[in-house]
Order: sequence, then C-alpha cells, then structure tokens
Amino acid sequence: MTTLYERLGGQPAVDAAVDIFYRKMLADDKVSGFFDGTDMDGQIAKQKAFLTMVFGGPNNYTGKNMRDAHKPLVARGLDDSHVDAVIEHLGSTLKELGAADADIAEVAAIANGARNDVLNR
Amino acid sequence: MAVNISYQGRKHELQDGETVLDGLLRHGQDVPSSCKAGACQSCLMQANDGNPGSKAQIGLKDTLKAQNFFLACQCIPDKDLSISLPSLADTTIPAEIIGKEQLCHNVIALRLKPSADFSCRAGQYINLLSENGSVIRSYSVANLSEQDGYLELHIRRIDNGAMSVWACDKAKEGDQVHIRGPAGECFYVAADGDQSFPILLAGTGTGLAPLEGVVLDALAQGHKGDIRILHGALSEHDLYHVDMLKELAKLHKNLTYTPCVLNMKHDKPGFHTGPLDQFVMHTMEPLDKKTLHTYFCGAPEMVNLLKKKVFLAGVASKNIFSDPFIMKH
Repeated sequence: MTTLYERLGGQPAVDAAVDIFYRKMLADDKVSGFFDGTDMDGQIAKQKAFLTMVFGGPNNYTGKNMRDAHKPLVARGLDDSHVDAVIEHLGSTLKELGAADADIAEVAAIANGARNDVLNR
Repeated sequence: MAVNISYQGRKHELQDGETVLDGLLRHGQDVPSSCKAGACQSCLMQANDGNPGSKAQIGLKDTLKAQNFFLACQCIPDKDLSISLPSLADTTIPAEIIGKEQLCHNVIALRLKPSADFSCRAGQYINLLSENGSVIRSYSVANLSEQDGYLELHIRRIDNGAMSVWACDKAKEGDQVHIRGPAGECFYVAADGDQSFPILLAGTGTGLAPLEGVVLDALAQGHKGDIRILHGALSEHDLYHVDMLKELAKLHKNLTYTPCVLNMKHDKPGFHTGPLDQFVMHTMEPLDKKTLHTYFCGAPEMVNLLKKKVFLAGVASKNIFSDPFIMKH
C-alpha cells in the first residue's frame, strides 16, 4: 500500500515538478504579479515546500503559517480565482509528469483544503 | 509576551516581528551589517543560549550551524536569546595585502595572502573587515587562490564608500586586513563527472570577478563544454581585463568572451553594443537549455532579470547560480 507521496515519486518528483509549476505561474498574468520583486531562489524553495505538502509529503506548514504568509497578498487582492489558477497549474504540471488522474485529484483536494487559510477566511 | 535579546550584558526588547538586527540597531547597538537580505553574512552572530532557528542559518557552513551561529538580519526569535558577536579570533583570519593594481578608472585589484590555510572556491566571496572590525564588506574571489597562494578581489570605488574609498585610496602592499568566509554558491561544479554541459556567464561591473573565477576553475578542471562569458558595462572605459580575457579565449577553443557595452561611441569589432539582457538571450539561443549552467553576478536588478528570463526560457533552476551585489543600506 503506497502513499500518495510515494506514488507520485517522492522528493525527486517535487524537484522535477517545481520548475515546470513555477514557470507556469510566472507565465500566467493572473498570478505572476504576486511574484514581482521576489527573490527567485527563495520562491523556488517555498514552492518546493508547498509541492511537498500537496503531494502528501512531510511538511512543517501550519494553518497559521499559511495565513501569515499570504496575509500581505490578500491585502493586495488575492482571491479564489488565484487559488483556482494555482490548482489548475498543479494539475497540468502533474499531467505533464505522467501522474495518474486519481492522484492528481487527491493533490487538488489537499491544495483546496488550504484555501481558507491562504485567503485568511 | 515580549522577546528579549541579551547582548553585551544588557537586555534588548524586540518589537513584534522585528529581526534581531533591526532590534539591536534600534537600541543603538553598533552591530555590523550590510545587505540585510541574508546573503552577505556580515551580520553573523552566535547564540549562546537559546535557538536562533534554522531560517536564520540558511547558507551557513555545517560547522557554523553546529555552533549556533546565525544571521541577525534573518532572525525573528519567538523566545529570548542570548547572543554575542563572533570574536575575531574564532572566525576571522589575518591577511596581508601583497598586491594592488588599477584595473580601470574606478576598479582596483587587491591581492591578499591569508596568514593561515584558507580554502575557497573561485567565484565564492569573502568578507573583508576594516581594522577595528566595524566595517565589513563582501568581495568575490576572482582567481584560483589555492593555486596562486593569494586571493584576488576586484573593488569598485564607491563615493563615500566605507570600505572601497580606503581600499582604492589608502590601502597599500604590506597592510594587514582580516577576512572571513568563504560563502556563496557561484562556483564551478560538475556533478557526476559530466563536463560537457554548456556554461553561460554574464555580469556587470565587478560582477566580472566571480565569473572570471568560475571560468578559470572550469578550464583548470578540464571542462569540455562551451563556455561563454559576457561582461556588461555602461561605456567602454568601465570595462577591464579585456585583453586578458581575449588572450584566454584564444588559448581555449571552447571559451568565448564578449565585452558588452550599453553606450558605445562607434561600433567596434569584438565588442557588442546594446543591453546585456538581450545579448544574453541571443547568446543562449543555440545552447541546450536542459543542460545549460548559468552564472549571473553584479547589479541586483540585472541579475534578477537575467535569472528570471533564462528560467522562463527553460534553464533548470538548480543550474542558475548567482551573486547579486547588494549595496550597503
């Protein structure tokens, strides 16, 4: 019985996914503005931690972390449409890497589970 | 519950969300710092009691982490901490200036001979300390220091610069300085022994220093792949080491060097005229993005722009190495 994280490929899968995922985010005008002026290395590290979490892997994120981290973005207009965009890019990234549809749906559900914390609701 | 920092026998209360560095400065403590971005390590301190947290230790050698060294500008503690400055003896090494050379109108080369074994990869940076230790600035190592027996730094004279004015105007051979480090990720690595990947290096001003180091290191280690180095400057008289790099490119078939000048009076063969980022993208076109390693150093805006552009064009984030030269705030 394998875990979602194991089925997806564990940390190597995260490493393979992060560049693809982050490129999609930077190329999407809907969300790229939130990354303006941020340090790319720092962002890549954060995206790796985020992907590890939604892939069902070990993580130290708490609801409070997610709220605090996204509070300034919410002040700048972060809303459901942006969370939707992130979930979409997660899905297309995993599809590119050959993940099973059922696993992609599970990842989306985990990401969605953080929606209210991210949006500080 | 307020968080207190014990430093030099006194308690300093931190405001909510305030870093250790900002708190100490606010309390009037003279603590060294420079970039305030977690990059230069000037604000290195040691926690004697309490945990500084791993976020404040990113980039530090394992040996320093194990001794609870941390970066004050990155440390926002949630519990009281007792801290001290690293004593000069612990982490710094005396060095002697054994050479000084004018490279162009506002850049000098300074050659330092450390008094003890100091191992450093070409392209990494070191911290140079003023005589009383209150001014610390980072400079990249431009040469193969272990081979040469000295560290070569390129220092640009900044108006009112606390370190560069002294270095350019007053420092002379025989003078003693202190150095700390090295740090930084801008050095040549060939994982799994594969040395056929292409390398693209681009920098502005004294960003050339670490790039030269990386090129020399790659060549010394027998790198087989294409190496292209671009040096950007506002005008021709801001360039330096032009002849040296041209000669190096003549000696090595896989090395190409192009000085890139923004404002050129007349087009000149062997020089490219125009913005550096456009020329980087052009130079990158025929190279295999999947295996390409890129190195960008110098002015932060240009470095960040280049990183983003090449990343979006398909270069792997783990193969993008950079050292933005962040000025003292």
